[in-house]
Amino acid sequence: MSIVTVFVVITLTFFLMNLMPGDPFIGNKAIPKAIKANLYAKYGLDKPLGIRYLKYLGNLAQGDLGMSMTYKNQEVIGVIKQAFPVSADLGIRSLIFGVLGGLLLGTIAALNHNRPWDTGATVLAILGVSIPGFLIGTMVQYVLGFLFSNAVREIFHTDFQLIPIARWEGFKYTILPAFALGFGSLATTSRLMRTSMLDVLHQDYIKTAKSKGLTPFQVTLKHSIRNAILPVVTILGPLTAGIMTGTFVIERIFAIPGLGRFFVQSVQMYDYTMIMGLTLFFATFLIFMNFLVDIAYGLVDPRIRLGKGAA
Amino acid sequence: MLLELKDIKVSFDTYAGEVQAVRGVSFTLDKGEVVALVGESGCGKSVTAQSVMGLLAKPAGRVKSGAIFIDGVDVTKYTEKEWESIRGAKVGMIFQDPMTSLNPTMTIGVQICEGLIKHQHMSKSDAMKRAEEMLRLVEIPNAHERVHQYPHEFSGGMRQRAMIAIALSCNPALIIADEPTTALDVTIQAQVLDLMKDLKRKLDTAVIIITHDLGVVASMAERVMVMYGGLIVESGKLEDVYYHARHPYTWGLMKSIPRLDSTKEEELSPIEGTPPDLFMPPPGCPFADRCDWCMQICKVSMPPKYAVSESHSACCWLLHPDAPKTESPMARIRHGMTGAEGAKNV
Amino acid sequence: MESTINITPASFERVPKDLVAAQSILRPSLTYWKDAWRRLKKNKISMFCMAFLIFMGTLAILGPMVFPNYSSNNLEKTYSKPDSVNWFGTDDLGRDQFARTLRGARISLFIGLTSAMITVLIGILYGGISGYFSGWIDDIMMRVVDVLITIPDMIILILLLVVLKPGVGTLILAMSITSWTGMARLIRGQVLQIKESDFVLVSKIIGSSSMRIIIKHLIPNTIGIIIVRLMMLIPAFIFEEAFLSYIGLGVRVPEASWGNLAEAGALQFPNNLYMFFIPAAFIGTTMLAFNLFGDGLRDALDPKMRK
Repeated sequence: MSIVTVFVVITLTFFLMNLMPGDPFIGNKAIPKAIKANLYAKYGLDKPLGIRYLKYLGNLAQGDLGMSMTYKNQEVIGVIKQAFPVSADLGIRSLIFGVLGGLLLGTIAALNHNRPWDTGATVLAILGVSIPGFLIGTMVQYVLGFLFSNAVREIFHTDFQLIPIARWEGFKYTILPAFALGFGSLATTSRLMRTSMLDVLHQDYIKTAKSKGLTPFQVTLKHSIRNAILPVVTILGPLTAGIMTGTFVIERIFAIPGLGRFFVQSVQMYDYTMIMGLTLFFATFLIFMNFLVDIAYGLVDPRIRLGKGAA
Repeated sequence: MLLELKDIKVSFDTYAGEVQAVRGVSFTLDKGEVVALVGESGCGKSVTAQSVMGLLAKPAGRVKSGAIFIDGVDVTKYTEKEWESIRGAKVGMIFQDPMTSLNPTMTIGVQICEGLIKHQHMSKSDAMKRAEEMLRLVEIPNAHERVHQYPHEFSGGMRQRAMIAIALSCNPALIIADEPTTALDVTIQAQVLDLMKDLKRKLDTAVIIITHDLGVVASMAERVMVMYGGLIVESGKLEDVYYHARHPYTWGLMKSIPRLDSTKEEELSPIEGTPPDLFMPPPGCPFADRCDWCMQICKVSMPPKYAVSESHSACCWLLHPDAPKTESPMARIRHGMTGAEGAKNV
Repeated sequence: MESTINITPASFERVPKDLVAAQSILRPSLTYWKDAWRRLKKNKISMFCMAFLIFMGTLAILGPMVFPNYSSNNLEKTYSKPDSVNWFGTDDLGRDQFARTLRGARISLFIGLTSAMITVLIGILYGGISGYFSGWIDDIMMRVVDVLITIPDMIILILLLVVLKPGVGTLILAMSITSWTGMARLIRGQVLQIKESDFVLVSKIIGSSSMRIIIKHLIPNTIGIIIVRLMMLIPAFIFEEAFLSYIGLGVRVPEASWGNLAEAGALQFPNNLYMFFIPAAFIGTTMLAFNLFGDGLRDALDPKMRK
C-alpha cells in the first residue's frame, strides 16, 4: 500500500517539476545558445519526457538523485547524507519533548478536571496550537537571546548568553530549537491526551479497578493511561509530518544546517533536481514513518493485534 | 452482623440542585445471607450499593447522613486509604456489563492478579497460579491458556464469569452483584446464576443482588427488599414478599410478570406512570401518584414502617390500624388473574 | 412518628391516581439549537472570541477601504518606527504598515475562509456521496482518499506552489486540494453512522422519502460537526498561509498578507521589531480566537453535554 503511494509521489513530483514554465538557467547572465545546448544535454533535458522519466526511475533505483543545479558538483544524495542527520537529531529531540511532555500535561489536566492545573494546561495547549511554531521560535530567540544578553550587558557589563540561539554545535544549542519545534506537538498531544483520559476515566473498567481496592496511582497508571494513550499513538504519524515541515522554518531561524533549510533554499533558487530529490526523500521518509506508526498501534492495542478472538 | 445500613441518605449535587437518590434506607445482612434489592431504574438501588463500596461519583455524590457498618466499623467515616484496604478484600463487586467493565488492554489473568497482589501480598507468579485456579472455579475451560488472553477473546458469559473470578479472588465476606445477568442472554443468565449459587455455597459469601428481574431474585435470594423512589417500601423473606406482599407497588410488580399460561387475550399489565423525579421528591409516599389505593394521607406524609410479621415489613398507610380494610390482590395474582380484575379492590 | 401527623378519618379517603403529576417533566425542554445557543452564551470566553472575530472581520472588510494605500512607496521614510503619521511604522520601501496590516487582514482572512469553505464543500460532496451510497462506490472512493491522505500535505503544497505562480488564487487552490480529504472522511463517517442509526430506520419504516431523510435527519445532525470543523480549519489555513509566506511561497509583495508581513519582519530581526511583532500578534490572536471559539462551539453543540 505504502509502496503504491511512494510510486505515485515519485511520478507526481517528476511531472510537476517538468511542467514548470521557464528555464532553470535563466537568471544568471545570458548564456550563449551553444553552451545552453550543452548544459541541456548534460542534464538530459533535451530528451523527450517519457524517456527522461524512465531514466529517472532507473537512476533512483541506483540511489542516484542527480546533481544540484545551483551548487557545482554537488550530488543531491550527498546533501541528504550530510544534512539529514542534523534534522533527524533536531526532530527526535522535539518529538520526545513534545510527546512526552504532552502526555504528562494531558494526564495531569484530566486528573484535575476543571481545577487550576487543568485550566493552566489547557491554556498552554491552546497557545501552542494557535501560535505558529516559527513565531514562537523567533520570539523565544528574541527574548532569551537578545533581550537577555542586552540586559546582562547593561547591568553587568559583560557578554553573556544564557542559551545559544543559533547554530548547532552541542547540546545547549539544541534546547531552543527543539523547544520551538516541539511546542506545537506538545500542545496537540496534551489536548488529545486530556480528552482521551477524560473519556477513559468514565469507563466501567475504571470502576472495576477501584472496586478491587487499588490506589489511585495504580488505577491511573495501569488502567487509565494504558487505554488513553491509544489515540495518541494514532496521531504520531501526522505529528512527525508536522515536525518535519516545522524544520523548514526553525532551521532557518536558528541557522541550523539541516535538510529543511536546504529545501527552502532550493525552492527559492529553483534548483529543480534538488527540489525533486529532497521532496522525494521527505515524502518517502514520511510514508515510512506512517507505516511504522501503523505497526506500533497494532502492538499497543491487543484488540487490533489479535483480531476478534474465539469464544 | 456483617453489614448494617442505618438510615442512609445519599444525594448528588448537580448544577440544577440536589438530587436525593437515597432517602433513608436501613437494613442488615448476616454472614452468608443472600439478599435482593429490587426496583425499577432510578429507584436508588445501585446508589445504595455504591455507597457500601465507597464508590459514589465524587465530588457530586455524598452520603448526606446515616451510617454503614461493615463488621461493626462505620465506613462512612473512612478515608480513601481505608477504603482501599477493604475494597476487594472484604467487599467485592460484580458489575452489570462485562463488556465494558473489563480493561481491554490487560489480560484477564493480570486483572485477577491485581487484587491478589495488593491484598494478599502474593508474588506475581503465585498470583497467576491462583488466577488460573479462580478461572477453573468459575468453570472456564482451558483456564491455563485463557488466563493469558484478553477480554475481547472471551464471550459475554465467560466475561461475566471472569468478573466473578476477579470479585471472589481475595475471598471477600460480601459480594455486591449489580445487575449481574442483565446484559447476558437468557440461557447464559441461568448458567451464571447457577454458578453464583454454587460458589456462594462453597465459599459462604454474603451476597447483595441488585436487579429489576424478579425471576433472578426468586432463584437466588433468601430475603427481598423492594425499593422505590429512594426508599425501601417492603422487605421480608422471599416467600413473604412473593406470596404475601402488602405494598401496592409490590403488587404491581408481581402482577406485571407475564405468565406462561396466560391466554392471548389477556393484556400485559404494566404499572402506569413513571417513577418520581428525585430532584424534587414528593412529600408523601413516593408511589402515591401511581397507586390504585392512594388515600389523602398518602400524598401528604410519608408512611412509617409497619411490621406484617417478624420477618416481613412494609411502608404503607394501608397498614395503619385505622385504614380501611383492603383485600390483598396477591391470591388473585398468584392464580393468574391479571388485568383489570386484580385492580378492583376495596 | 404518628403523633406528629394529624390523622383524621378524612385522611383515609380514597384519592384517584394522578398520572399527570407522575409523568410531569420538571425541567423545561428546549430545541437543540436554542439549548446550544444558551450554552454558548454561558461560555464567556467563547463569547469574547466571537466578538473579537467579528471585530477582526469588520477590520478586514472596512479597513482597507478607509486606509487604501497599502502599496504606495515612500522612499524618503523607510524603516521608520510607529508614529502619528504611520501608526504601525513603515517597511523597507516606506509603505505604511498600518494600511498593510489591514490589507493583510483582508487577504489572510479571505484566504482562510475561502479555502475552508471550498474544503468543506468538496468534503461534503465527496464524503456525502460515498457514505450515502456505500457499497462499491464507497469502497473505491475511500481507497482513493486513503492513497491521497498518505501523501504528505506540505510536499504537495510546496510542489504546486513552485510550479504555479504563487498568489492568492493559487494558494487557495493548493490549500483546498490538500485538505479536503480529511473533511471527506469525517462527513462519510457521519453519514454512515446516521444512516445506520435507529431513528433513520424508524423514519424509513414509516415511509419517509430519501429527500426527507436527508433534510430532516442527515443535515441537522451533521451541521454541528461541520460548523465546528470549519471554525477549526480557518486558523489552520491562516497558519499555512503564514508558513508558506515565511518560506517565500505565499503571497507576494506588493500584495500584503499577515504571513508575508511577518516574513518581512523576520528578515529584519532583531532590528525594527515592530515589523515582526505586529503581524505576528495579529496572526497569533486571530488563530487563538478561532480555536477558542471553535472549542466553545463544539462543547455547546455536543448533545451529550446537555445537562
